[in-house]
Amino acid sequence: MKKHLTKRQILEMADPGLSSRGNRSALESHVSSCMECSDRIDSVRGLLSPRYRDTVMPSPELRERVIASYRSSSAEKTHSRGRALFPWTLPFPARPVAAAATLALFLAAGLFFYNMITPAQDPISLTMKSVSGGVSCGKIPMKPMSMIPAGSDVSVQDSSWCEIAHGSSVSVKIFGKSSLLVEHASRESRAGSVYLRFRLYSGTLISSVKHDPVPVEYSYITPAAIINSAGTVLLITAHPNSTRVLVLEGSCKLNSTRTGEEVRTSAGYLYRIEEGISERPATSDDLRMYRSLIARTRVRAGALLHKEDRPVPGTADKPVKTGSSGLKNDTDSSREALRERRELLKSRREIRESGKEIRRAGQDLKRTRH
Amino acid sequence: MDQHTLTEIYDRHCRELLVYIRGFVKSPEQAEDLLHDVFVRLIQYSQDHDIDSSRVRALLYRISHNLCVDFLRQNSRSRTTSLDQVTAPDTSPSVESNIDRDELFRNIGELVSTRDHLSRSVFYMRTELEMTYAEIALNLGISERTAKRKMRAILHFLSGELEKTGFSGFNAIFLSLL
Repeated sequence: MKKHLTKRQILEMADPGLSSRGNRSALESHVSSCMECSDRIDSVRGLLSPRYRDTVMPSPELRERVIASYRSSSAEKTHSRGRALFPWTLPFPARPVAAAATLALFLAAGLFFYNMITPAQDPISLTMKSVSGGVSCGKIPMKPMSMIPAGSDVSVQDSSWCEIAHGSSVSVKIFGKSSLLVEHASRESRAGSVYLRFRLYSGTLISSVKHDPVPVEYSYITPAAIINSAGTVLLITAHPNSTRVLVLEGSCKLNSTRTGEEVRTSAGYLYRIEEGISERPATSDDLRMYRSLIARTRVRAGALLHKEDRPVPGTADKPVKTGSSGLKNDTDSSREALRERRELLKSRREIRESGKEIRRAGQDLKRTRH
Repeated sequence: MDQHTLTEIYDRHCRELLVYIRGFVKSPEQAEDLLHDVFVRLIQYSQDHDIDSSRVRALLYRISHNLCVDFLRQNSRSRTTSLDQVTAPDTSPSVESNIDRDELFRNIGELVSTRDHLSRSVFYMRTELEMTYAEIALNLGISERTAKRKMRAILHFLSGELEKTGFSGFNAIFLSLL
């Protein structure tokens, strides 16, 4: 071997414990003939020589100190046994018993505070605000102002619609060939928050929820998705294998029931939930569909009211408007609907105008900057 | 653990533990105080656990290592040792021959103190206590490979630094001392 040893080989020669391979004899023969490598190995060996081993010796007092510590600790342990507060300070056999007792105590306290903190929820009923065409709950035809308690199954026939509401904050418009179960409806006794859960087996609905005057938390469960929301306008179309959700206002949380995928939605987007969740910006066709459904509810309400010369109250086959016990009430309602529409158009016009003004102001600002 | 067992353990291991601790702390008094604390910890541990005589040595080294690391951490806030503080010896021919063993050891100690605690433990266990790497691994709760790697790194570092700071012929001193 003519080449000098590597650093690793020098370390291994100096400290035999470090060597892992069995080529020591070849290295030794090189070292015996190479002064430089031999010197380097010796210098590393020098580092390995002990420094304190032969000089350090513990004092006899230290031994006495250790024994004294042992005695005092034994005495303290004997005294402290009676005042152990926590399970881990106890000797081993008593520890599991003490731990179980502590756990039971904590559970009891937790249950007590849970009952104190968790507010009671009172069941509530929703109201059938408007009915048009064939709408039934179970086999009973629905009339306006009917109460819909939790557990009611609402079926809407083809080319019919109805509106379920809770005060002014919740409005669910259900359209033809739909089947909806009001699974849960309750109000928290302390804060007044409303909790709703619907199961849409199939069909189309427009959900519009406001937080005014009380907070509302609700969810829709379809065969393909779970839609959790608070304060949103949604158009939901459910089929056995897929669900479409058009978010028009606010946002909600979508979960695919098959894959468990979760998506936070944004307004102006259409979500399709099948195997997974796909999204795309809402097109004019989507919005047109929403508008046509809304218009249908308005127009049908207005048109039907004019036809209500011979109203047949209590029949679900005939379209009936809220509070329609006679012609006068219906005409009033029709006027009210027209007034609402006019106000809506007026407010839209105002919004357009204000938008134009903002644009104009922005352009002016740009010009002045230039 | 009764008093007789404690004294037996103390008599068997106190010296090697003190040598090990001495590698970390400069003053012999501090080293003795730390050794006392090691045995106090052992007494406290024995009150809740059974002491296995075959593993008591590893347990003592583990306690010693932890106490030394705590001690160094507390002291490092007030005082740190940097490589610049390692004094280079006067290498003039007349003085070179008079460099004593303590001076070189002091420099090695300073350099070792700049390394991490685990490397220091491995170094002192190997050099001062002549433990095998298997024993070092058992006492420090690391693998034998890690112990060897740490030792190689620290030896490489020390030889490089000592040559850099002027101890090019330090092997000659050892040869004369051996």
